[in-house]
Amino acid sequence: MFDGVKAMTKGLGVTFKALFEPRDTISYPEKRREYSPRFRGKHMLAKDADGHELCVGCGLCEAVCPAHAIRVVAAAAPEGKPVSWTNRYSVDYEVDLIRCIFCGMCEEACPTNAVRLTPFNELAASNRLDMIADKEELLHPPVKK
Amino acid sequence: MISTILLIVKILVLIGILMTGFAYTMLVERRFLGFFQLRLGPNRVGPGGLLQPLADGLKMALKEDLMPTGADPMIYRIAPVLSLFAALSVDAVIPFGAPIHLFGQTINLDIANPSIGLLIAFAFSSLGIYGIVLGGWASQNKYSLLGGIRASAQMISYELAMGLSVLGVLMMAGTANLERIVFAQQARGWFVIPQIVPFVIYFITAIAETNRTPFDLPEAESELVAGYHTEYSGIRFAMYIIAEYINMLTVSGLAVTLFLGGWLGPSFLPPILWFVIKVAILVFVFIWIRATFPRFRYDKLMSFGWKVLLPISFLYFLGTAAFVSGIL
Amino acid sequence: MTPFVILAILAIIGALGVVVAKQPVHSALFLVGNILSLAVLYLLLSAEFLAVAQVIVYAGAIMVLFLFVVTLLTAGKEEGEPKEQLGGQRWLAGVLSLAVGIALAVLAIRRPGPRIVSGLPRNFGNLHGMGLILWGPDFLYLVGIAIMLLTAGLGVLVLNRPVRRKDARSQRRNEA
Repeated sequence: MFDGVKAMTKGLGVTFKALFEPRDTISYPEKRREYSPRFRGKHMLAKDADGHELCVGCGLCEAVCPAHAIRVVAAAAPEGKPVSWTNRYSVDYEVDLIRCIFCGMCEEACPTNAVRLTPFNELAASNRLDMIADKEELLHPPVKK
Repeated sequence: MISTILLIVKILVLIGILMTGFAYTMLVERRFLGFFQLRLGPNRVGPGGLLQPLADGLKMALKEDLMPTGADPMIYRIAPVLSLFAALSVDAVIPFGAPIHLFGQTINLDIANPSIGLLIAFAFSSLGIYGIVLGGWASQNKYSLLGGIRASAQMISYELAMGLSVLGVLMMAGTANLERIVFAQQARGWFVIPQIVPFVIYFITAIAETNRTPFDLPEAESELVAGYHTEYSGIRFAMYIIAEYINMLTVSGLAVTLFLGGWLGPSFLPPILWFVIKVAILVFVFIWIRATFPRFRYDKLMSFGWKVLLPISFLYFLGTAAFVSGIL
Repeated sequence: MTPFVILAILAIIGALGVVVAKQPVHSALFLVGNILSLAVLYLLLSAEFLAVAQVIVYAGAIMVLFLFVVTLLTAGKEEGEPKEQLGGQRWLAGVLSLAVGIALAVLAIRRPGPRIVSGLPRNFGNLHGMGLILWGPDFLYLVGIAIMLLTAGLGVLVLNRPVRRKDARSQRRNEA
């Protein structure tokens, strides 16, 4: 019986100590956790130092994507305006974030290192259409990498 | 005339205090449970979560009041009201502070001050079982029924030990009037010192009577979904919850009155504040115990009540009787 | 007078409800209502301890045990009332109980007990007075009732004791 009382007192002590220990949770929207730079979250399309798009529209990411979440439409780069670093670019680039399984194969397949998965993971929308990220959205990611 | 108005005002004030007390006990419990579990607890609504009870109440009031088909409509509707009524009425006899003088009137800080206040408190709290048993029965749900049956067995078993544990105080004070029990403690020191064993037993049985962890078998969510209030929703569900928390405040208030000197305390704080502080400490212990211990097994609960608590409190009661009567 | 009439009507409704109600749980609840109105009647008669004891013991413990058993036994059962075996027994019972009630009332009015005639004793009905009566003149009755209840409790324990293994074996042999 005394063993039981001792054990119960010890248990109460353990929980009481927990009152003063650091919390495991954070108040989320104000404070955010630091994610590893290798975290696979939302995609982005990178540009080089001069502001040219790295994507050449080769379609390798589209081919490798196991969830068929990517759609690339390639075209010859327009003459006057230098959007791309070479003579081809992607006119349209869409990622369906509902289908995407964030495996990172597109990132691995990309020959120019244009598509990258950023640590940004706040993926929520009230509309399925909003979950399809178009090229404009991918070019201006909330978190760069 | 004036005394009638005063009485009505006191009743309304008491109900108001109990309702806010319930709301903030619940908030404090949820935050403290968060702290005990290394979380933050609800802190979103209002500064520090202070408006959370309001949001909860609003949500409860706006929810649909469901009744399962096959339920006994009359009893299903009455049961939560009974629970709440029993919980509220016990507090009528608890003195919250020394009588105060205001506008040339002496105001007792209780609704009624009957000579058998302690027994009346027990009578009303014993009626609280009905709400739970009937709610469980009327829901036509096997989990609710099991919860109600467990509640009746558990509360009857623990009421005996509870009654025996306060008899020592009754004998030492020589009265069942709660105010005079407090005055007796003013003269002879808090009864918790000579009556430490009954105090512990009273506290354990109080946890069992209010159906709180580790004695929350009537609503054991791991096996009975939610026990007797499985089918309840909306305002009727809220009534059960209010009753549970007000019961917690009530048994703490009774414990303070009987064992911890009621409103007595050093004079740098007003008496009513001492009462509140003592009740708050006991409520904290309630929450602390909830955060620490796992639930009893049903047969262990019964044998603990009948074979440990009851004999110990009976022996201590006999010892106190012998001591008070002068045999020892 | 008015409170008495109201309480009496409530008590009678409760008492009739116990007999009339189809659901056993409803019967039990009517009985609780009856007990509570009786308790308030005791309060009116300034027998406060008796009133509280009535609530604690009858409403708080015994009726809860009743409910416990009733809810356990009738769970989910929807049976029609079995046909009455004895015709007209309800009417007979009603007439008889009415007769007994009238007889009691007549007796109480014609020959009131000595305690009623001499007026209420001091401390009547409160803890102190009750204790003085129970441990004074009525002590023998108290002891008698205590022994009776203890015997009943022991009897239940003895009758329900688990069958010993040796007895069980011999019983099986007898059956074979």
